[in-house]
Amino acid sequence: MALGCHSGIARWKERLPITFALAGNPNVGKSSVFNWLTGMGVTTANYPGKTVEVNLATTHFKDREIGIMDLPGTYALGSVSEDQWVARQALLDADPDAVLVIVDATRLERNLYLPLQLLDLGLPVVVALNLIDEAWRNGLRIDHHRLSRLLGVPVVPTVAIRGQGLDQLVEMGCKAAQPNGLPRVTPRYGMDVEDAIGALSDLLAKEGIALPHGLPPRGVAVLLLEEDEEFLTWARALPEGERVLAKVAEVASSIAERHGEPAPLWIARERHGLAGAIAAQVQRRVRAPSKAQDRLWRLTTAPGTGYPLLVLTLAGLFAFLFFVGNFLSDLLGGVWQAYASPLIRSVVQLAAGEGILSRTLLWGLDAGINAALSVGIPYVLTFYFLLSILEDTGYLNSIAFLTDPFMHKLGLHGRAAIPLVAGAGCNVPAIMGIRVLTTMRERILASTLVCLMPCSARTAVIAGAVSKYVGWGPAVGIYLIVAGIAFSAGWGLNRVLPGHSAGLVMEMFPFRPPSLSKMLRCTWYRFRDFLFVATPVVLAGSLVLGLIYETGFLWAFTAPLAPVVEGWLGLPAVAGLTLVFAVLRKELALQLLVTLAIAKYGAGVTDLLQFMDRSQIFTYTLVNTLYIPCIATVAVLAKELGWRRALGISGFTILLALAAGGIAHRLIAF
Amino acid sequence: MAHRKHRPLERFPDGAPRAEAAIPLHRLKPGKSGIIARIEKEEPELLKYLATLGLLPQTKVEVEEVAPFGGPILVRVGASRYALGRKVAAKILVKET
Repeated sequence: MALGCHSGIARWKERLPITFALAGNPNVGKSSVFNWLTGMGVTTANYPGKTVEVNLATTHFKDREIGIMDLPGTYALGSVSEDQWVARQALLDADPDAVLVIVDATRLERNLYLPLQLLDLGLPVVVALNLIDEAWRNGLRIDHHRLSRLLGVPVVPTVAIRGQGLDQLVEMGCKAAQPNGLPRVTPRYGMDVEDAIGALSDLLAKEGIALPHGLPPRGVAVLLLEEDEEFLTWARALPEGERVLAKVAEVASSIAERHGEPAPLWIARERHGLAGAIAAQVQRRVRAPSKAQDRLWRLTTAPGTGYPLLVLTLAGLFAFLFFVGNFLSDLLGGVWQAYASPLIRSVVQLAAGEGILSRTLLWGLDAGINAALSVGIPYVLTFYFLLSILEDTGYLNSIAFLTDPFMHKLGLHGRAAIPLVAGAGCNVPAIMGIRVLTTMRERILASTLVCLMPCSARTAVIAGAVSKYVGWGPAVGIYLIVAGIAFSAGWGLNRVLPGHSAGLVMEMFPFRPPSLSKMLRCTWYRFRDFLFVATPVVLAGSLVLGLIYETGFLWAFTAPLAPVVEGWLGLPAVAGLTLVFAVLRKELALQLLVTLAIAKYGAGVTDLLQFMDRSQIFTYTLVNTLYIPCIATVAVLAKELGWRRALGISGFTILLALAAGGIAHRLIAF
Repeated sequence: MAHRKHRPLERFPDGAPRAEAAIPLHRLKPGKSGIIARIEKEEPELLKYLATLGLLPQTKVEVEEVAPFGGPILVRVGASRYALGRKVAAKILVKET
């Protein structure tokens, strides 16, 4: 069930007797908690215009149905970044019975900021003190009873990756759903800050203003003092707006005068101060932390060792991707052709006879699925597994750190490196990986670049056409031309797109020994997403193409394409047709070219050179490599960025391909 | 590198080091730490974001690595490590300790 709007979340909440939200900083084990609680029944909700996801799921616990909302990992709930905004908005819309905040016991000070902010908003909080085992190994002892007393909310120590403590966490959450179950506590900051908050919330209460999302006056007062843009806009629109804003300005300037710091920063400071003071009272260090982390960081980020290590890792990654991907591709394709294909063939022929209908069905059910099994799936699966290794160990951070300066030239930063590398395998998972970027501008830039990365299917055409008939030099030439075009496109778009690239601010997570079960789970969750997006598209596309081909309707496209294909690109019209239909799957271009050539020029044609010269093959491959990656990629683009942007990027690549092809036709001859 | 010129430490007559003016964070050498003196205010959103991470004036930061080619710097604040792009680091002014 995909929920498209805010009311969707409200409906979801109405259906369920108890709802929890899961909140926490990035990389504290929040998804481990989510996956453990929900198993696989994950449904996803997208906010309009936003691509940060909120996962909704239902689970059963002791005969109770519980709804669980997984918020994006954030450090705070302001409106300064998209993930923070989405987290806050979803939280306010859903108004869950309890917010389970997962905090990292090894970094308690910083992690307590978020629960304090949630308490400021008047939300019922249960704290999961996660990674307690790691804290113990690092020589930290934490008194969770005391932490619970100081915060005024239940605290449950957990080791989420092994499911320890999670039953108790859910039980605590359920208590919160009972009337008077959880005391609503509010943090106490410095006297003058509390005075300012008090003065403002008194005014809001006295004026009888209806507060958004049923927030308590104190929560709204804090947000206004934090100069939260959304709530300031709300206040401006009120009939009493002027009085409220005047009061905000008055109390804010009294804080600023007293502390020499603007009110929003002072509140952040007070909250950090409180978090730090609480952390200091509940934790005890029994031995100095190990230096192993520091040494690993030095090794992976110092230029002298970091870059060689990066090159080795990427080379190993590619070798693994191609080796294992090819192996799986041969295996799956072979098994399909040996067992499934004959079976489907006979079933379809039995049911639909030998006519056009039967042949069309076979295009989809046999050739379509076979293609998905031998092109998309093996590489995507392998790539996701590799990505989960990089992620789970923490090495991904080092890669981002080392590649950041180069990515800046393209308006991106280090976190975009991995999707770009992934694009060389398959564009689909690469575009899904673009979620790690936080602004829409970066996502558009990175998606465009990924679309220009020659994936394994396009590599198959480059190998099968150019290196076979023209030579390996021109084949390498295609890669160089494409690399040049991609770099210029990125550089140019960075200048054309409004806005500027945000600077890199990224937490570097500690290195952890990878857990195989976690990596396999992670791989599977992502892979399942891919299956649901790509498979129906390839299947439907193959059926449509099959129908057009089998009915002979295909040839009707020849004439309208002629001016571009024959006039501008200098290719035979039949080649143009294959370019259009290769949108289904890029490597299809070559197979289709041979099929159509036989249909058009007779059975003797088995060799491209019989109807295209070497320069034409070069131009053809160049165009095929550059224009729209494939329909599955477009579908994923649309899912991640919206249809308008997906079509924009697709259109851009068509123009690039036509321009490059036309120029190649006029300048390059072999 | 040109932007990391050595300057002789200014000292009072009794030999105590004179308080130096604040310098951008990326000018600190790897292994050195400093106290944040102020953060340039032209981007309030960035300022707020850094504040949520605990990067506020009077906070102690330790520079662990400065990437070449104008790359990011690796800093340690409390128990956390952050990578900060050069542009962001240039807005954070610190006094070396």
